[in-house]
Amino acid sequence: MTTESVGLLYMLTNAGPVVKFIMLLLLFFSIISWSIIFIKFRYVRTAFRDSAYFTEVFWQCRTLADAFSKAKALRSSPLARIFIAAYMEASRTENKENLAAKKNAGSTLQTMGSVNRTLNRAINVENRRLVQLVSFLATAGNTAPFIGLFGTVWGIMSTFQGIGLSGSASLAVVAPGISEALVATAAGLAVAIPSVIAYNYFNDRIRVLNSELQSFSSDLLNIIERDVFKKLEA
Amino acid sequence: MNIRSQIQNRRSVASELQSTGPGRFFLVCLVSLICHALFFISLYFLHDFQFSAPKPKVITVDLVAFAPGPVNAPTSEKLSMPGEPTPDKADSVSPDAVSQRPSQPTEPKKAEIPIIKPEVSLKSKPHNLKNLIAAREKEPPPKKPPKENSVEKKSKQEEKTKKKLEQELAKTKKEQAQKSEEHRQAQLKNALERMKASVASKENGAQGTNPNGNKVAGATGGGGAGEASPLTLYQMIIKSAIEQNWIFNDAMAGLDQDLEVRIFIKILKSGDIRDISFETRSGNNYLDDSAKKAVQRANPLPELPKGMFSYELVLGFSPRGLK
Repeated sequence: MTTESVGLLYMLTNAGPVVKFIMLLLLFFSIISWSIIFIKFRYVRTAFRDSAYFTEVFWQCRTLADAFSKAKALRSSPLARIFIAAYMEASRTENKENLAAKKNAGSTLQTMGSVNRTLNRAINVENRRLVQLVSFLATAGNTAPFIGLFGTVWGIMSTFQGIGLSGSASLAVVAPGISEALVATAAGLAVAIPSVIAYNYFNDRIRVLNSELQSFSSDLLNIIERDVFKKLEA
Repeated sequence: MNIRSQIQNRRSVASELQSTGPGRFFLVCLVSLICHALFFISLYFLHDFQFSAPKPKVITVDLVAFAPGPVNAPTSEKLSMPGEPTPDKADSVSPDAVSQRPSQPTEPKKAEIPIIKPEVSLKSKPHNLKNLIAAREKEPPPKKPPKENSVEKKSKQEEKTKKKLEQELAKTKKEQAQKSEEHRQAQLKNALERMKASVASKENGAQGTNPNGNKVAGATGGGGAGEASPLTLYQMIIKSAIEQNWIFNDAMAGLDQDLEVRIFIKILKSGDIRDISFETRSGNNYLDDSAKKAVQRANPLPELPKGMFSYELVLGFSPRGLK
């Protein structure tokens, strides 16, 4: 029994308009979600790598200015970015103090507060950048199977209508239509599975990065505080 | 000063956000689109991906052989591969032929008003078949022994068929256009009878081996109906008989609707088909196979019109239908 097997493409071109539309929608979902996966994967990977490198460098540096010059070369790391923001804020207030040539505890407290707020804001910006496109992956992963299922149900519906019209329910009449309809479900799953996997992966990575940012900002605040008080005592 | 620096900060943040923003995103989308296109193109060219799961060989089992009661036919002939041509259809009983025996097209099927006779059901089919097998074993020219329980009905039926046949003759000479409609009605009737038959056979525990079989039992093989019937009518009968046995789905054959496979057959006086051979192949294995199987399933056809000893013809099968 050598039946000439039918290609997927032939099936798709032979399907009804609704199934075709659904397949196109799924193709769109697939393209977008894969490009998001690509972009986010690269972004998260470089963020991780550079952040690890930056922390290593940061703890080896003797002064904040030294660390600042290193951080400027590592702009792709979120840690380096929040460090730059905090350092610029701290140096600004310090410069003002130096110009005014008055050193008191009140001004140092004000410096600490402004640095803290700047750090918080920088962390918020970083978080927003990290989770920027990931929500679409969740959407695709949750809805694509249902979209595919809709196509399948629609295809089977029209198949049964055809059976009713032709009046013959032999397997040769029924089977191809149903297998054609099932392609939609298969496509939906093919879109959904990578999206869900990627979504979970990115969520995990983002959580880790976020905790790193928080802990680094606490460390940085401590260091700046010590630094400022040393200067105050000097 | 402070406000200005904040604004600058905001701007720098915005520009940083935009560095991985819309432009680059669309670029990556384009790359992704290209990847998808490549994927589908590779699907198109890699024929290994198509549904080429190893298909198990189909074994046709005639369940009638396992029905309780004396069975004269040797069991070795009860198993056969479909598609494997049986060498001598007249002498040996192939299960296909046996199970197809009741599905011979009869003239009542061509009636305009489908009259369903539930009495002529398959309730006696296995019994009848056993007789048939026995008879075939004894004497090579196949003749159906009359059924004990419905002799009167059969004689009535034959009269009816004769009348109907004469009407039919007049019609075919007058209007050929009704052919298709009649065929449709015949199909409707067939479907109804098939359902009835399947119910009956389920009740009996005997099941037909092919989905298209199990039509009305008790056909006389056109024996009484062959009187002075023209060749055109016989051709119509053959056409409908083979079409009913043709299991084909054009979705499976691919895009080409112009394929045609031509099969040469020779019909003996008894209605047996001999010398099935391809005159021209279509190149599509599925179409060729299904056409050959249809011819084998339709065997034996009703007897030839009187005065003819053999009849040779060429059947053309294409996805559009049977010539």
